[in-house]
Amino acid sequence: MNVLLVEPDKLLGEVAKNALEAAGCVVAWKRTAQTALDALDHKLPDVIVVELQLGLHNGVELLYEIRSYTEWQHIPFIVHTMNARVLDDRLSSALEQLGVVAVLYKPRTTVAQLIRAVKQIKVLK
Amino acid sequence: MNQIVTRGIVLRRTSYQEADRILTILTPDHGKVHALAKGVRKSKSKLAGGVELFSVSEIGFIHGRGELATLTTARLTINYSNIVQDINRTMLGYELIKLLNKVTEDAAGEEYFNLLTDAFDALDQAKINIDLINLWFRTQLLRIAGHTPNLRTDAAGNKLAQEGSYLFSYDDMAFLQKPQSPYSAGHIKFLRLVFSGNAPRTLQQVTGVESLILPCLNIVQTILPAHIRT
Repeated sequence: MNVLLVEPDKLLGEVAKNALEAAGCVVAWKRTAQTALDALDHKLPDVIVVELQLGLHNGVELLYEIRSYTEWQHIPFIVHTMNARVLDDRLSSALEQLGVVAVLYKPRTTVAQLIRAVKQIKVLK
Repeated sequence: MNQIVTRGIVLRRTSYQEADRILTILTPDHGKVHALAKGVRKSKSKLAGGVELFSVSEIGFIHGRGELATLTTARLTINYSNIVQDINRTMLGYELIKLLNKVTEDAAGEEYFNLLTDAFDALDQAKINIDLINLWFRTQLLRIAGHTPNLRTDAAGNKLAQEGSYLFSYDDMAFLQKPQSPYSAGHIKFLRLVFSGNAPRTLQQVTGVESLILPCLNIVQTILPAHIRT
């Protein structure tokens, strides 16, 4: 399973990448919105795991940008974020409309839960 | 073929072939322009910076034989960069752009361009309540389209009283006095101010605004799809 991981934090990115690879995924890890878009131009992943807090941009911009390309509209997103606003129902339902299949709030999510959410994509497919 | 130079706001971007994009751009004087922007997916394209969302750009385009124009120049003039610092404001910004694109015809007038720039300006200011911006924007869409409800008299033509409670009749587009109903004279006064076209910054200063916004937003959100194709 090919995963595009968009995670700006070096430590968290390494942990998530290693864990997903140990679970059998092929992971491309990018730390910015622009490098994530460049990566999509080269290889289509099965799922995009994205942090909503991306420094210069916010992840919502990236989600909308990705969805504006016809060839990328079917790729499911998993939001894995430190941003507590995702716990707000209004934001969650808006994210759902963008094709977000799971919203994981980092402080309450274990690595095992992240892997489970990624593996769940295969089941959904 | 003459190049037209004007201001524009990108409403929609879709991909076209490997490096191109088709843009729907709202202008003050040429309505909505559908234009092909060549090479904007290549990061070094000089057009790229001028076709960002939440910004106003100076654009140049040439009309071709078909419906699609060709974008020749794009230079960013105003970037509402604070919007993307906040996820909820970004979400609302996208929602408002999408809504405006849906409800306007290709011949959309300058009032829609001004409405969107005012909305970006309000979203860019963190102090302005986001639900107020949402209410204000939808209200202005109704106002521009000529669907302002009757906020002076009730459905029977009687002047609205200062006391008492009201229901909103969607069929009559007017309030009806009825005991134990959810709306007060305060809500009606506030709606009058919003429908009068006051800016969100001004509306924010109304006493007790926080408690007035959501009930009024409920009314406006129900009226809007009944009168405007959304």
